[in-house]
Amino acid sequence: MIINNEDIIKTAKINEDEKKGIIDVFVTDVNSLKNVALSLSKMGFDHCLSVTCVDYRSRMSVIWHVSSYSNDEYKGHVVQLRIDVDTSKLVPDPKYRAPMIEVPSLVEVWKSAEFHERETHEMFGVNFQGHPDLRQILLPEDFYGKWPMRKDFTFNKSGIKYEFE
Amino acid sequence: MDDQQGLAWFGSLEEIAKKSLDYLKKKDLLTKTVSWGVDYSLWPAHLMTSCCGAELAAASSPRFDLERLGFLPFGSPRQTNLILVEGTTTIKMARIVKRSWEQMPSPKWVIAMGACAMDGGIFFDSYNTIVVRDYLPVDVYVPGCPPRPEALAQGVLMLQEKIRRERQELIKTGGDK
Repeated sequence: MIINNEDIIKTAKINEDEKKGIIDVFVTDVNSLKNVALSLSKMGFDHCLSVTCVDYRSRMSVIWHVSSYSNDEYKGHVVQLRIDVDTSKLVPDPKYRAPMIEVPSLVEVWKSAEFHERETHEMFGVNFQGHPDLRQILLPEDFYGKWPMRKDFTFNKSGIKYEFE
Repeated sequence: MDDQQGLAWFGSLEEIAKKSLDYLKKKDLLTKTVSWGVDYSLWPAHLMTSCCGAELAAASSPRFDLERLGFLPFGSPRQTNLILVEGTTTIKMARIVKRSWEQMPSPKWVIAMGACAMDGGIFFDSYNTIVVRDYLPVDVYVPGCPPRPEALAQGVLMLQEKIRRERQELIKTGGDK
């Protein structure tokens, strides 16, 4: 067992794959996500590699990949901190094409997650609560609210045509 | 030179100048000289939109050397008369290309280079890309993914031929001032 912190073991489901070096930390409660992240960062997982999101239509899961520079014990290991959000109960918002999902931001824990969270926000429509600067990063400003990486987005040739001025 | 024998104009100097210019415009020598001057000074704006720009760099290098066709990349759009769209353009980049195009003095031409510029290529159904013909009037398409520098040279030669043809017609009909 690489993760031996009691707080994490209590609140999250841990599944370690020694061959691939992937440690899956699945958090079931949204409120305990930040505490789990803090415990991981205290253990020595000091930077965030990437933030991504997977759309399963009925639920969406947001994933932070974290790794360590400072501790040699965790060499070759990547922790995927995972949380699921149920999308069936969301209320539609007329401003956006599809409703946003709410997840706490982990920028306070890992500073390097800031740009990754901005990209995940514009591509998937994830509202990271507590993020300092949640603007568009790659897409044009007027493309906001379309969430192009979601499964229900229809493309140019088969439906929506984005008009160029 | 037979037709020029016995040719004479009378009147004031300004009138004679106008008459002789009209006469010369109908002659092949002058039209050929002007169109030769234009089509051997194709100066493209140095604007790289995508990965086909590497092939453009190779085409300008000593091995292929498109400068012998008068093809000289320039830093600012104000001094250029040709724009090359190399490969795919995102909507963000397309706005920059269009702004550069509007800054260029007339007459000006467009070469669309690569599969993505022609019809989208592998990004044909993307949410954030746009094909060149939707925002610029394209003169020459160069197919390939990416096109070799020889293909680009062929495209430039085709554009020169087109300019020669167009300008000769323009000058003959009096459309060009």
